[in-house]
Amino acid sequence: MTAESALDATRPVVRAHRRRRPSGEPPPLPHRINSSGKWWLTLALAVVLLWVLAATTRTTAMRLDAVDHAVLSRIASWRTSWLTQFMDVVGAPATRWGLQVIWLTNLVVLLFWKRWRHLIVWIAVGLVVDNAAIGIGQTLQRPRPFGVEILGDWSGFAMPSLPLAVLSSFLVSTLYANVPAGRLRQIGKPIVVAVITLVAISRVYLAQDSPSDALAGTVIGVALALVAFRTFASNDVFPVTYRRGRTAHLDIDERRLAAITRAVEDQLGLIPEQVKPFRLEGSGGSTPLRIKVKGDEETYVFGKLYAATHMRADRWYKLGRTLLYGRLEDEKAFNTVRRLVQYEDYMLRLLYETGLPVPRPYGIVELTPEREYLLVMEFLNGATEIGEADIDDDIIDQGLRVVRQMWEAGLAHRDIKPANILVRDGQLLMIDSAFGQIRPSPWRQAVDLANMMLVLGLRTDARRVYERTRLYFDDDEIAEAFAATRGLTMPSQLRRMLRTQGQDLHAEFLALLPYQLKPVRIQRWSMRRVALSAAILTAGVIGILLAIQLVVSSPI
Amino acid sequence: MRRLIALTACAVLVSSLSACSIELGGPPTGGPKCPTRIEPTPKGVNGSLLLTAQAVPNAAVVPCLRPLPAGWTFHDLTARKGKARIVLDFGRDTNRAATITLTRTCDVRGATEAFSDVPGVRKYELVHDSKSSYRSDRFYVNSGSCITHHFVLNSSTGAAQVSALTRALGFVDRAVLRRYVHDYSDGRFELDPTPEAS
Repeated sequence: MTAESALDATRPVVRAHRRRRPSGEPPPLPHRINSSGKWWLTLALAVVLLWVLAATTRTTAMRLDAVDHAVLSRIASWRTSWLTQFMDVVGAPATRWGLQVIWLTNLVVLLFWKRWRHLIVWIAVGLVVDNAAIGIGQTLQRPRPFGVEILGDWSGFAMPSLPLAVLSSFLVSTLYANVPAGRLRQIGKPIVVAVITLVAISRVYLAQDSPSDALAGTVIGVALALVAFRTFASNDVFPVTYRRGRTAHLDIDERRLAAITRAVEDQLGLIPEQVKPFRLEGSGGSTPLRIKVKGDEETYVFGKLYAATHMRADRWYKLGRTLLYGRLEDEKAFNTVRRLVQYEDYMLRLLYETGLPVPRPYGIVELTPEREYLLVMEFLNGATEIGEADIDDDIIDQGLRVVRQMWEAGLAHRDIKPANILVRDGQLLMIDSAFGQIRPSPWRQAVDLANMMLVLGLRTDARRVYERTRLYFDDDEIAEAFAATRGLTMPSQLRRMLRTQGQDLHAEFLALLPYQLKPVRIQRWSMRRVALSAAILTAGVIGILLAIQLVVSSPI
Repeated sequence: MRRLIALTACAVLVSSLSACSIELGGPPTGGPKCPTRIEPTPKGVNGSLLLTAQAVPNAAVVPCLRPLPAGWTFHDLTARKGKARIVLDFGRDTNRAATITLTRTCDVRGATEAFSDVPGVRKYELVHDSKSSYRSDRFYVNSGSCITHHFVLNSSTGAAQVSALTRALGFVDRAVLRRYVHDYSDGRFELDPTPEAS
């Protein structure tokens, strides 16, 4: 059944012809490759080539020295006392204290906004540039400018200029880690260029650096920082935003909106009229959207937008579970966004075809090949979370039947919590099949039952839910459920709501059981878990020591 | 996951580099080497020596290193405006056993004047001998600068080890370095600023 016919069955919609994208045509949301990074890399390579030539051929080195000296001599002839004082001030950002201020300010801002990725890249770039510049300087061993009085402070070999290399990398890092992409960043770029240029002019005026030293330091600092942020913290995947809330959500700007509209029409035959984020606060694994499609009546579909940032969030989540649980069940992370989306779509279709009350799937829409996809399904208009709905025995029965049906079909949902159980017009609905599993372990099936009982008990009471459960499950199965479920096996939202209500629902259920089974051991240790734990612990200790060292000492 | 591992590995590598970045300054160059030839044209002047000379522009005499005796290794050179410092290690256990510092001035209080084999330079010595270690300072003072040799060795044979090292600690006249730079640049520029270029 196609998306259009599925919708037609419920509400008449205006159809569009589906269109296959021919070979060579760009996708709806082409991946942007910024060319400025390649330009700076080329410059950096040219600088390296110059170093090699200067180090190996006396003539090149001498000519470079002669040109530098000529420029410095000319500038020195313009010196006046007031200009020298002015240049001293202009060069402040590249001093020990200036760089320390820039670094600590960034540290505070990035910590406050929890931009961990940007912070790690920031620190790594600073360290690499600092050490690379020192190492290259000690290899080339270029002295300070000859024949001109050096008015400013200096330290170490001249080529490349260490203060300018570090300053350039710091300023570029500051821009890419703190300024949102778009107009603001475009304004910031010339400001950064201006600051670096002024400081370089100051250092050349004061003869702290030769012009070639200053240029080399700047190129190295900018190139490394630019490449690092574009590779490890690209804006498409890790956008800089100052909105509170989950940073995994993608920005639905004009470009993305146009791509979604076009892609849904071409690939599903539906004509979107409005695309808006929907209940972002409840979602971290994707960017949920409500899409109004053209039709005789108001018709909506629900879209879950997935990109690499969500895939990475999935990886971190599974890494965390591996560290907390060990190898209790398969927690292999997805390697690509495509596979992540395919899996959820497949699980949703499986649950739907089994007859379970889940949204009808309409298909996958590709926005950027291998990078960004939209999973489209039925929008459950008018449904409310079970935590806010009135629950009667019929709703309780529906929830329990859902679990029984999953058991019999050899399926597990694995994320039964109030946010994923909805009620509409007396019907219980289940959403978010991303964690679903086929042929789950008996333990996982038992956990599904216990979590469903706890969710149903939130708005009613344990005894009532227990009595209804005994209509669908025997005492052994219920005892097994509560032996398997405690603490970490409950979704965090469920744990939070139980704590908020101030009742120990879990204990109440246990008290109702005719007998209790021995709790199922959750913790499993494997070589992988040991190695991961050791690696994370070591990285954490190094990170803390590094942070302390960076905070108390200057970058140069 | 691969990128995370790569990033973590880089961070670990770089953090260890940052802790020992000073080590990068040591070999392969071996510090400011004494010229291999003085007349007619200076030869074998390396960048470290010139940088050391630039640290104190008024220094008439600049410290340099000849081939080091067995057991002694070059640790690092730190040069900044107003000060240059050469650090040598002895053996595996004695880091920073010898420090040669070039500054504008130094404090020779408590030191005894001794015979100086460096023309135009006065020499002072201060020995802090004890049973378990050997510590001594030598000051070479002229009107524009001071070169300090500071020795700290953790053994009673320290005096002998310092004596062996002394032959490797040289001095080069600034005029030699000026001549070298003049010849290197074919007269286009000089080591130090000329009065009109200041």
